Amino acid sequence: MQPKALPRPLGGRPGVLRTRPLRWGVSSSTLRRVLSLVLVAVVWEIAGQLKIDASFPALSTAVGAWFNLIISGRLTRELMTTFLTFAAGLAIALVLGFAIGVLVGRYRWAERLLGPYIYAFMAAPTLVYVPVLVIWFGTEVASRIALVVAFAIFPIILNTIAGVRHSDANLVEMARSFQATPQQVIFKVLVPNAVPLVMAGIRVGAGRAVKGVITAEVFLTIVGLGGLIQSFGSSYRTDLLLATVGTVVVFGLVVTEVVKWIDRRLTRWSVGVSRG
Amino acid sequence: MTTTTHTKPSDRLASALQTLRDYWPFLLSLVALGVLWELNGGGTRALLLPKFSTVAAGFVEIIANGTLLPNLWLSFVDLVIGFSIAVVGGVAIGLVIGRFKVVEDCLDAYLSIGLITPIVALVPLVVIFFKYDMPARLVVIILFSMPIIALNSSAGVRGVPPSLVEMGTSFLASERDLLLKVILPGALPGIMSGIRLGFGRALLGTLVSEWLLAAYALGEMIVQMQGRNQTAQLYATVLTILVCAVLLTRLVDTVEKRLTRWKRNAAFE
Repeated sequence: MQPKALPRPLGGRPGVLRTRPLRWGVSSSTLRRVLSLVLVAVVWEIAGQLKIDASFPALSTAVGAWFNLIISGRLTRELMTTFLTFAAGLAIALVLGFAIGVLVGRYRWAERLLGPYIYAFMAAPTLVYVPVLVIWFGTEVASRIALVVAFAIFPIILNTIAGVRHSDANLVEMARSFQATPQQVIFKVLVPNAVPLVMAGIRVGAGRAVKGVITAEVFLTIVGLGGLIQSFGSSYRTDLLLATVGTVVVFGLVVTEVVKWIDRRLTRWSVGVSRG
Repeated sequence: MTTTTHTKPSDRLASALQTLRDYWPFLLSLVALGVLWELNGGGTRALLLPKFSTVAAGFVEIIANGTLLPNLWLSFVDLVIGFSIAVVGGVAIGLVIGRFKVVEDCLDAYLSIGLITPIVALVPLVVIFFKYDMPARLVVIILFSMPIIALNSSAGVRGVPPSLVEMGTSFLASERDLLLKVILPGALPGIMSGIRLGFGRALLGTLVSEWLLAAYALGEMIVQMQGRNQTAQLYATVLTILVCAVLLTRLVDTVEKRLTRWKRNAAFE
């Protein structure tokens, strides 16, 4: 095989490279991507039909279960619960994370005061907060939202810090020499400048918030998609289980794509910040 | 932050003093929090927030009755084995993905799914195939940490300057030599970013597996203490896990910085 270490822009997820176009205007790369998905689907279907494992359903069975779940309205209802918890948690994480990030990034004393706490709370496996959350907030929605915040907030804090610091000293100096007030420096220079990096943090944070909400629904209250997974898992309804897991994956993909789209709209002007 | 390059004891002392000077607000707040905790805890709120001294007594108790340390060790063993497998597998997959476009095309979708899916949701499936014991726990830890290691390793491979690879090929390097002597060292910053991020996830995976499968080690401790309302011991356990996680993460961070001092590389997640 001919070595093909092609240079690519640093920063995004792989896959921006165009290979030569093939028939029907489809590149060989796209064709391979589709083929690999089809192959796994076929193997899954055959393995399921042959009943290799009694509890492992064929792809078609799982898809059928998925439609049944949708038609019964159960999936939509639980998805709504999950989405609301996710959205509330992510919103709190955004506001709180941004505020802490600006404070720590801008002021030396804040970094010296809060830096070690941020490092410590970020390093700890987030699940360790569950017992404490149960003690303080019980096992209902407040606890679940708090766990989503704990999952999502740290990338937002870190990237806001980086974004605030990344800002060009020249720009700040220029604003000052044009008599900008400290508020103006913050809101007209530092905040816009930090947007691309902050958005990158939000992208990661949103992905983690999805994991947070499912974790909360498995460990705190058995509701939402996480709750469905728990109950289908313990009753060995593998077809329904796979249908729900599939829904969670789609939910994660949609969230990621939406945040990416917002990111692109907000940071079209910026160059040189990783994107993906 | 202190660096670890000092050799003379006097230098170490100086850098320790510098850290103290830099981070006195943090240390002061730690003391203040401890005092506030002691003053406000206990009494009618004993179940919500036991006094700091009660938690300290709980810590001594779980050490003395031999629950904490053996369980901590069992969890650590799970973590080390699972994470090692994830590193080897993740780096291998990342190298192949980064090097061969065909493999990337075929595996990209699955890598994305692995990164996006909350692994907690896959635990019931793991139970079906691997039951509840150590193999199942290791699979959970691997699922948590391997995708991010593979992603960053493949990004690391792509960060290797093509001119180096071209030179290798024009000097007739075999694919094996190219991989071991050009690509692997060149991709090290990306690989180490992946290992650092993957380690955090492996920690989470360890706790998830020991809590959600058959309760085991630290997970078993937490579940039991929750059930018996042993709040002081529970706080002590949580704080111990926090401190251990910080120390281990610090260790991994230090290793990463030492190995990749020559290059800063972005991390992807």
